[in-house]
Amino acid sequence: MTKKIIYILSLGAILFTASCSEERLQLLPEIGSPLEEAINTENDMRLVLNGVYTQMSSSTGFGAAISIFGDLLSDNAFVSTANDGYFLNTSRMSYSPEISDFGMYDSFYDVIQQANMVIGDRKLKESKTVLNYKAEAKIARAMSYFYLLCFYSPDPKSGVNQEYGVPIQPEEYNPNNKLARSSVNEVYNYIINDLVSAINQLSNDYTYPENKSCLTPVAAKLLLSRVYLTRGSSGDYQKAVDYANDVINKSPISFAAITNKTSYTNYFSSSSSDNIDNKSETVFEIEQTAIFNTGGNAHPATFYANNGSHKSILFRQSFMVPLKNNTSDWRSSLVGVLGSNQDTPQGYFSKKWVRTTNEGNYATNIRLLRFSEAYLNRIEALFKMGQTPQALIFLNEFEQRRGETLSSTISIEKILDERRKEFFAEGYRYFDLKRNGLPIIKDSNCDTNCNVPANNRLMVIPIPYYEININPNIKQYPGW
Amino acid sequence: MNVKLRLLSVGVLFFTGQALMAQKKKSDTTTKTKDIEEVVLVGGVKLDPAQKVGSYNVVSKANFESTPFSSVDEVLNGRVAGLTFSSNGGDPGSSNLITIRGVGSLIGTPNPLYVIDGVVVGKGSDNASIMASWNPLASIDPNQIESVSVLKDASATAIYGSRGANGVIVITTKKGKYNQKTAYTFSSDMAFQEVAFDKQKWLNASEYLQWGGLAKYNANPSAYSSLGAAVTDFTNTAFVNENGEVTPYDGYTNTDWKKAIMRNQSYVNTYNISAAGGGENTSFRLGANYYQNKPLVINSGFDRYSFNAAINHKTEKVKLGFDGNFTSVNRNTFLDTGYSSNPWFTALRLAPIYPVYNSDGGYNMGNLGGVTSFYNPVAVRKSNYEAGQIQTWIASAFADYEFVKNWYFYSLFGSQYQALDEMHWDQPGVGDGTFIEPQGQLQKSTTKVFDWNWSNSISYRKVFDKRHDLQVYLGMEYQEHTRKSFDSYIRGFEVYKPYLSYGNPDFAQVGDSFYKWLQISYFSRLNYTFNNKYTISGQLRRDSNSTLGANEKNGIFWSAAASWNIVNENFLPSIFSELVLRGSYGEIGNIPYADSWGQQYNQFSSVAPTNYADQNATTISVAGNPDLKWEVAKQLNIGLDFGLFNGKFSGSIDVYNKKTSDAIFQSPISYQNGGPNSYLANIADISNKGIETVLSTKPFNGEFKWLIEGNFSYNKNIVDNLKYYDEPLLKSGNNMRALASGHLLGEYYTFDWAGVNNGQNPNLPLGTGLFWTDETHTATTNDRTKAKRVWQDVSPFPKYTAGFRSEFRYKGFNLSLFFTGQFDYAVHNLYQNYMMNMGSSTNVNQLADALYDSWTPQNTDATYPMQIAGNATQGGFPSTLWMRKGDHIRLKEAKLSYSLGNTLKESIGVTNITLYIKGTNLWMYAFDKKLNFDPESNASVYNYSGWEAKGLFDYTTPVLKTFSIGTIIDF
Repeated sequence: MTKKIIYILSLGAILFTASCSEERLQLLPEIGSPLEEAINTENDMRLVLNGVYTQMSSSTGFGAAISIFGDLLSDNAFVSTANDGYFLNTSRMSYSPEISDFGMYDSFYDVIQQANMVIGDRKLKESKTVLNYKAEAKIARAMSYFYLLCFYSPDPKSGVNQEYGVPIQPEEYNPNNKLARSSVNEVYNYIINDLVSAINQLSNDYTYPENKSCLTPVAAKLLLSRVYLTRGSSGDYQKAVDYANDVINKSPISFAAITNKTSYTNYFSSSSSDNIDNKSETVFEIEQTAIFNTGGNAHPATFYANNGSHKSILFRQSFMVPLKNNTSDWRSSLVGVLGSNQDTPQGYFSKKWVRTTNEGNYATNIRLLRFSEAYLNRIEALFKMGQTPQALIFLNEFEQRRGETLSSTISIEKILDERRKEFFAEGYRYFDLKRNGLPIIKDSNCDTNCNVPANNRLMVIPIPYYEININPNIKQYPGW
Repeated sequence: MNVKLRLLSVGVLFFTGQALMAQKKKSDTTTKTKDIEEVVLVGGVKLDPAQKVGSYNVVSKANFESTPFSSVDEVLNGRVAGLTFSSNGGDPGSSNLITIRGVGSLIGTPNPLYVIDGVVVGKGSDNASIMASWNPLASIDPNQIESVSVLKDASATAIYGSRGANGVIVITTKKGKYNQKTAYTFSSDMAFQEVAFDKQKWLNASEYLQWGGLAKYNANPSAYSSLGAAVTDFTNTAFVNENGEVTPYDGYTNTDWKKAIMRNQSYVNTYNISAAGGGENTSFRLGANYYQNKPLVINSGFDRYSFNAAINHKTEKVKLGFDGNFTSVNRNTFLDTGYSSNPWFTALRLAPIYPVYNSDGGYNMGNLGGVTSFYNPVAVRKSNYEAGQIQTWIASAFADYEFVKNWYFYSLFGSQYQALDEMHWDQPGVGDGTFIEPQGQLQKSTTKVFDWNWSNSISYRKVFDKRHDLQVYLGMEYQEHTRKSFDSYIRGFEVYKPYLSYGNPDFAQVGDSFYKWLQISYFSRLNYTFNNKYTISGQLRRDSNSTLGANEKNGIFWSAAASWNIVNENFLPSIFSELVLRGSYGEIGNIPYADSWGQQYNQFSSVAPTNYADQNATTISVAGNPDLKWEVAKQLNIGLDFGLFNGKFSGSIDVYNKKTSDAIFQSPISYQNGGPNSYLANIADISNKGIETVLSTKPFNGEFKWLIEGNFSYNKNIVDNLKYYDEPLLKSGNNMRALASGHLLGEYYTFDWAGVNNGQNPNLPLGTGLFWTDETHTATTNDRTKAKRVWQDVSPFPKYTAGFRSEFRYKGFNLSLFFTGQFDYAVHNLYQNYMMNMGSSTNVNQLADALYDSWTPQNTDATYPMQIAGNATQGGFPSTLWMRKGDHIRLKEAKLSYSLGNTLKESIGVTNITLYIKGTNLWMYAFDKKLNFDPESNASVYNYSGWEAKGLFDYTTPVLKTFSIGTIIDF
């Protein structure tokens, strides 16, 4: 009997001593580390700052969407009938909170969260390097908030629905936050504060990087000129002029306007990446390489180029034909071939995006900010300040640069027309029209929403249904 | 003969349920009591004590032998009450979707857990890195299966703890027999395959031109003098020549692209050989199998070799056993779903006016309608492919030692190792290999998955006084799972050989991943049977899992069951040969994502390395939840097993109520916080309620035998509660299905189609598509953004499933027919708007309905609206027009066989020869006349995984129909 008991007990003991300690259950990932351990050294912070650009290069945000939607949501471009199904909702402006092609909301806030990881860090001592990193992150953050406002909020000068700004994300990551909108004004102040403080932080001892795929004080100033131009509060237009002047006159030599037509044409349509990437005209671009790129299904070139995989975005005849016929205009060389004959009338491709360079397919950098914008911002701001003669002088200067006949009078239509010719296929037109309270009037290749007044709900992109559904604190823009 | 053994066997025969007996009678092999093995679960716990307590069905091996199906789970389709099966693709080796008693979790696979000889091998979900879907169960040769038990209620599944909440399928492979002269079996099967059900008709060349012209005309009638002029215009601008110039259609090409990508003959060959035997104390079984499948699409294939061995040894007090299984699979396949490289998808979209070859004999790459240049599917199939070599080892060893009388010690060590080598090759100039610079790309991935578990238990089993049968078990189990993978990618091939060494090293990328999780469990079980009449059974266990939140890794779970074997009571009339009333209730923990890889570290938010151009970068990758805890499946089951007239009529009925509380789901993170859009949290409650019945009868049981068996089940699957989602959460399938509190899981929530306008709405043009503005159906609009979604009270999961089998036997002949049916569910075509785009894109082929069933002034009774080039009407967008009823009845299998018996034993030493012909998926009746695709298909894993894939047709390889001839020789 005792023998049995001994057997039983000893086997029972073996059973339980063979059991394992529960510390083994605390498994940490091998590839990756907890958020709190992300930044321990200055180099770690640089890597997180690089992560800001990784997020910016997302195709649903700065990486491609900006350059495409700004033109589709306007009188510039349309999706051809010979298409692969991409962007039909945008082209017809038939988007809704539930159904749309838009992913910018998510993407911009991802950029902001990465930037906040840098800006909000309290572990590292704020050496010059750390302050420079934080400043660079601030520019990215401000740029994201500005584009958020431009898409998802009404124009600040309209005076209407100004409480419908976008939420401001706290610097510490908390997935459980359900933020409410801030007012348009509050967000503008936040943006301006970020950009101005970034410029101040970076001005001392700052060495400009070798390439244009990082944000710099020049980018911050250019953005500020556009931000003030858009907000248009009292004193803003002067500031817009001042910052534009800063960009034009006080930038390092690596930032300068293109001076001849061949370089201008090559800047967009060359098959050599030496003519496209890292040029002086570029103020900020998203880096693409042969391996790191948004690819054949998302890169703007795949839609804009007539030999892209999807080649479906075409420009209206009423805009392209006069531009094409004005052969002395530098931009006429960027009008491409006729598009599919399944459209009536046929549209035109643009030559501003090249599919293949010596680097490979879809490897051209995505230029988001250009030096020439400073000139045009300045002209528009001066005009809106009432300084018409000076504005006309600068307009003529620009026209001369571009090989056009000089205008004798100036009007907002002329200014915006110049901007349209300069920036088509770069995603500017929607913002230009919205900023000036002008309607979108499509005179051809349109079957619905062909005349959208400035106060139509379509001019303000609705916050995605996903967000409205899960966040009780956010209110959808009226009309949606 | 060992007396004990015989008694035990008789006991098993008598008590383990009528289902087992009935199955046995259907099998072709002669019935020998010593074939029957008790079903042993983990820890040496037997499935049932003296009598049936839990709810489970046993499927006999006859169903698995000589089957053209590539994997075990396909055979279960329709054979088990309450089990619903659908396939992710007819491509052999594709993973399948199986639900037992509905879907109990919102994430992860709804599949049950598979246990093979004590080794937990997972849920048949995808291990692959590159291939769209790889079913680990395809590594198991169905021929080596002895029996399969499908465990459905808490009492049965509780022993598997956290992974058993969806049900458990316990597979036992064939073992050797003691005291048996070595017996050999050889079998071979040859089957031909075709698409089972496809009623999609496509436009031919002249119809396509008619349609294109019609769409152009409708877009701009004033631009053309007549419809014919528009057709001419469309015809004259349809082609593109070598210089990229627009030229007219050549006037004669009419390509059947689907035929061009299919083999003339698609077939499956299977060969199998085994040997089994044993001496007094040792028995063995060895088997080998070769399975070769040449699927429908050209240049694809699936080969499998497997070897298995089972050795058992017993002495008076000790039993030892070893099971080993090795499989090697070689699979050659292609990209799935909406990718242009998917031959099914592209072949159907390419307009028939484009030729396969140019006039110079080369592949036509540039004249394909613009949309799919360079994706000539014949060219793509000849040069580009995805391939995988997968080796799987499953091995387990156990020891059972009676160290003191009635006290047993049981130890089981099980392991599974799978090594996958996958690759994806795109040749320069063909398909995806063209649009990158430099051309040609190769992706390679090596994945190794290793699972092992070790369980030890002590049990006390004794019968007191011949009346008190007591069994107590106490044990612990440790399991560990690891997955490592290494991936590489390179571009730029000048020599077209799919090896990394030939690529351009400037364009190389590498990466790796590593996941690991483990679980520690303590369990105990008690079974007590009184007088062979009354049984109670209970379990208690504690599980700890490493993937849960930092605060919540442990859970305590239990179950209790009782049964009453009424047939042993005196008061029961003698017509009853069997009557058991049983009930069980249990609360079992579950981790729904445990069987797929990627979500193993949820305790805290984390960052991961990435890059920006050629610089390193760090970004946030996971949002963590320290409070993530077990979801609990609470199941009540009451059942009755009965047999009448000495087994002539038997069956069982089960009623159950299964609730999953604290179900784990992606808790949404507001976009405004940046980072990931969700983290895992316990935010839902799900319920499944239903009834299952199995009935079988033998109207004739003499020399001519007729057996009928049917199973029927009803299940209602509702999401009781879903936190944080006030509005229905649109999920899966063009956002047509949604999750919301109080609604069916995955219920269709979409816009109500109101037909084509023939004047019903005088304010809108004729021929435009109409939607009801809301569920009251009082007003219509043609702008879908002005309509509201309506709940459709139907989901992709059938509420009713049935299986029916009829078998006739006379002398050596055996004819069996097996039907399955699934009812009250809906399905739709994920790419409906590509295949019926109402004119939005005129450069792709369309279903014939676009020409013949679309509105024109001459055809006002049409289903589809007017076709308009560049169309603005939203008639092409998702609505109830897309929904089809999936209800169907299918002749799943028909088999006619003839066995010679042992008449040839004297002359050539052959114990039995069986010859048969067999067909699967032979015929289908679909209740919805407009259903033109197979309602059993699911979406590919590229699009959706888990329950979201159900009922979506996305042009993955379709479900197949097979005809086979085979022979089995025993000697």
